[in-house]
Amino acid sequence: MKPNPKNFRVDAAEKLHGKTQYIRDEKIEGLWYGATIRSPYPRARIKDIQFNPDFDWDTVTVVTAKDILNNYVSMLENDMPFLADKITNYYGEAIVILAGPKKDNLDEAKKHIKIQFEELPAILDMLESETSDVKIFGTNNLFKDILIKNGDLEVAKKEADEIVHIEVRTGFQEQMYMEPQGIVALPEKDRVVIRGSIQCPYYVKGALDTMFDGKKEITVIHVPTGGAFGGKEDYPSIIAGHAALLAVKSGHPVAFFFDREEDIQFTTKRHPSYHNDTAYVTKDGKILGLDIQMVLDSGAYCTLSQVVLARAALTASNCYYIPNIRIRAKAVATNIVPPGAFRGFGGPQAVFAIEMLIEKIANQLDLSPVDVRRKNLIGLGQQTPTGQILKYSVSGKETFEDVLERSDFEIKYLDFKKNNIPILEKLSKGEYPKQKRSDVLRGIGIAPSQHGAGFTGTGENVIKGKIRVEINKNGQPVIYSAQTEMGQGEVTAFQIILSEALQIRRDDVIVAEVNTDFVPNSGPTVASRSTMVVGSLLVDAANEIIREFQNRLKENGKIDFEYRQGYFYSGEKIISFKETAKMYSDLKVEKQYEHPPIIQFDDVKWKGDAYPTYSWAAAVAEVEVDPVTFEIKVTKFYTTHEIGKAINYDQAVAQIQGGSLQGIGYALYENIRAENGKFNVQGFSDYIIPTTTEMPDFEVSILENPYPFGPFGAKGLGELPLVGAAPAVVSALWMIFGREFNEIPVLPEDVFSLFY
Amino acid sequence: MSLMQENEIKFYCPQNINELDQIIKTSKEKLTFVAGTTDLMALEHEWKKINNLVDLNCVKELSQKIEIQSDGILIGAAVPMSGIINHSLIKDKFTILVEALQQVGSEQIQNRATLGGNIINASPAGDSLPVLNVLNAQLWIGPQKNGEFEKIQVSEIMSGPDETTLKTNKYIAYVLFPFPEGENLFWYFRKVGQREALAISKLSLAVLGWFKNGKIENIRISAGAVTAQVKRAIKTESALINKELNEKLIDEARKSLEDEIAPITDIRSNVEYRKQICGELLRDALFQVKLEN
Repeated sequence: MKPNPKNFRVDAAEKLHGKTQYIRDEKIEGLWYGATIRSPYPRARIKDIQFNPDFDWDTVTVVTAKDILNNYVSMLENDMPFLADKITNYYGEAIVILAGPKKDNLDEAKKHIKIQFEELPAILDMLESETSDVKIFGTNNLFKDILIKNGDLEVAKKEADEIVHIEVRTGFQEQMYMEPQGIVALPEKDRVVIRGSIQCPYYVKGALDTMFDGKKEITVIHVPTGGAFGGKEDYPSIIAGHAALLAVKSGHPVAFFFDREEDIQFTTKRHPSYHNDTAYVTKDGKILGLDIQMVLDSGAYCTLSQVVLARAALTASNCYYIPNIRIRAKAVATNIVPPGAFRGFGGPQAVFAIEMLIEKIANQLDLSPVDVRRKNLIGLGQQTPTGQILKYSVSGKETFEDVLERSDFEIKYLDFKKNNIPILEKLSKGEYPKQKRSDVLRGIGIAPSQHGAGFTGTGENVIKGKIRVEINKNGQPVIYSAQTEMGQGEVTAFQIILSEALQIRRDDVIVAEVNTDFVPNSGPTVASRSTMVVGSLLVDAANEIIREFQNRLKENGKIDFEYRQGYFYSGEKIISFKETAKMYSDLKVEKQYEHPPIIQFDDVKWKGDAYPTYSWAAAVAEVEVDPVTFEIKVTKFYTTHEIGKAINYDQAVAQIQGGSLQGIGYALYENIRAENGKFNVQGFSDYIIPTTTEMPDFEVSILENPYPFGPFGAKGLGELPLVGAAPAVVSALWMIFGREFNEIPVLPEDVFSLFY
Repeated sequence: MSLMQENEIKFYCPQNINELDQIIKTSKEKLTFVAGTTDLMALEHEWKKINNLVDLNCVKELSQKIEIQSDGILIGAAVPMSGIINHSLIKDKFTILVEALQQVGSEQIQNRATLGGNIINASPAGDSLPVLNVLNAQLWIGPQKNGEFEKIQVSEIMSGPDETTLKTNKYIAYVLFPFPEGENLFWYFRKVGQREALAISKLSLAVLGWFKNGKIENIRISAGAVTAQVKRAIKTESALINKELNEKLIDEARKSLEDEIAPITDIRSNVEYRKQICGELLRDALFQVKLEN
């Protein structure tokens, strides 16, 4: 067998052979370990910190809030301290950090630090936050409150035949990257170098520049990262700050290497959500109006919740055209570990909620769930809730019809219903449900989904991402960008984009290490933006390189050169790209992104182009439920994705499978709750994610419908597969049981309780 | 790096049982016997408590022996589960054991984990324990006295969650599976976990029995993860023995088993589900027997 036969991931072979050096594999001379003393209460006043003189405090370095110049993590609201000072706002919040060369001694030191607390009332239920007397943030605990309106709901109410109402809840979800958080800070004279498992090096640099008030130069270097899924977007800023403070004070390199338990207990997760939605519909299932209210549990500090909320609100109508709509969305503070970024970023919550509403419309009006969806799908030229008119690359209907046809949905829907009748009848009577050993309940469900590619609203114009391509001495272009590889295939995608644009071999494109001293800030590696937004800069850079070489060749020989398939050609002369590049190896090309003027958004009134474009998908899940144990298994998963253009086809398929499986986990397996503010799981043995055994047979299809401003027409892909998977799975449970499912995860115990 | 602990551990690797017994005889300290170490690997905080580690993998008899005897099959307590799973005679005579072991952890775990380890761990959710109970497995305990192992029934070893009756510096040497005395055996094993692989069970049920003259001559039932000690459901068994299997009897047995267990609510499941589904599994087992007989 040939390793990695299609070579669709340049980083794969080294990872599979265990050669890749992650941060824990690095040999760092004189390394000290960091440790954290955390709050044992959801909310408390810190009255005193005592250091027992029996311990030899010269053997460790200790940092508390009073050692920090600017004690806040620079993010959207700057409300989160690196170390809690007077009040701690969640169970597990860091109060004291310490470092030393020996872990045992650190454990000993921890025992000799005594913190006196006065426990304070806390907010543990997101629905109580806004009206609570406890104030975590501002006057009403709202990190953000969004109102989006289009059309007139009163018109919908008047014309509607039926009103359908549903309450929906979604739970926390943990990113569960294979490599837990890991950061090392190395102190130099006037500088601190950060190396680690980081998604967005410039976020870390920004946070540390602020923390040290510019008194230290900060260099952040991305080290091979074993998965992130958003979990290493904002969180590394905190532990990089901790490591840097201890490194500067001790003079030693300091590492924070979380074990799984510390990681799962205290780092960011997906926001839990509550939805209270009402639809005004005609009797044949046409939605005339939607009144959507959603709340995101945003934890003790704002982190990225404002933007997560924005994406959730802007995704609330999913792939449907709703003439009259009102969306009210709130991010509320609670005394729980702050949630942060996670693949989908608000989208999975919003899409799950509306898809359950659609199921309820079909159920209440006795219509086919397929027909209700089909009747309301948005198309080219129609308006989204922000009044954005979809002008190009719209494929909601095409992906929906494609997946329906490929899965034989309509036939199976009837067959499965027939199969289930005798089993359900017996179950409801408390009789033994099976006639033969192999009897199972079978379901089939569907959900369309979409994901706005790139930053929300004006985000891209604020960041103005910049890249640079330099030609090296060997005539190879070298890409300098801040985009990071974390297992998603970024390096391979960039090599493909630049090599195709330059018409050269992929191996001849080099992607530089992400070191903030050398790479420009092309923006964070988030929001399904690297390929689409930064990739488009690579194409621009390629075009400029070719033009520049043509100009220089012309200066030299006074004749015009044409560029064809990797060669500059003029009459009797022909010279390869590589030879030309070797001659002009001083060339550096910089490109900066801004939306084309056609894309405009007003983020005060929430009007306009919320996203430059959308990627579209539709999924069909076939589900089996064991009638004896109520165990639920997804056996087959069909999904059709329209992503403009698949830059790396095989990796795109892999992304779609992986993301869908993560969505299946969100629907059926991943169960984590904060009990009195403390998460009830410790790691892989009690936080259950799908393994290869739970992976259904996947039937993936990719449609292409080019986006005019993406590289070769490409749009964002990374997050979309997760967004629509959970509702497709739960849709199959509605089909089997004909009952309302409005909360994920759905566990066998929940289905069991329908009957007992 | 984070795994490094700084206590000294004396490591023993005896090559045979006599060497092993000699180490025990001369040792004044507490010895920790390990085989697959699949659990020890995950219990980093326990490592500090270990001073003397005895690796039973070194002891060839314990880590390799699978011997057919006149009254049953003798398996070394340190034989990896995959060695048992892939043994053709065991597959044939003790299919229920193989099916249960195939649901332990994952294939990687099965390549290291052992029966001895699973027993001595004494977890109420230990995957092999219900099956060992219905097979009436006999444990041979070392060190030998006058060349003889002490022999106890598997049902006698567990005294509570994570607790056994085994005294310090004793070890499980072999597990003897007696051939079931009946003909026309029926058996059932089902593990219910939150996922199919690598999951600690919510509950499990093992049933083994046989008919004679249209009646259940003998039946053994043992449920996992629903009692503090994994044991046989004797009351339910006796409600079934010498009876003709019919729907009424199945229903009584189901209710009897639900009364005989005492599940708890924890991270993996809740009381209601465990109680009811345990009964449902028995109903499933007996209905399948009924359909096939």
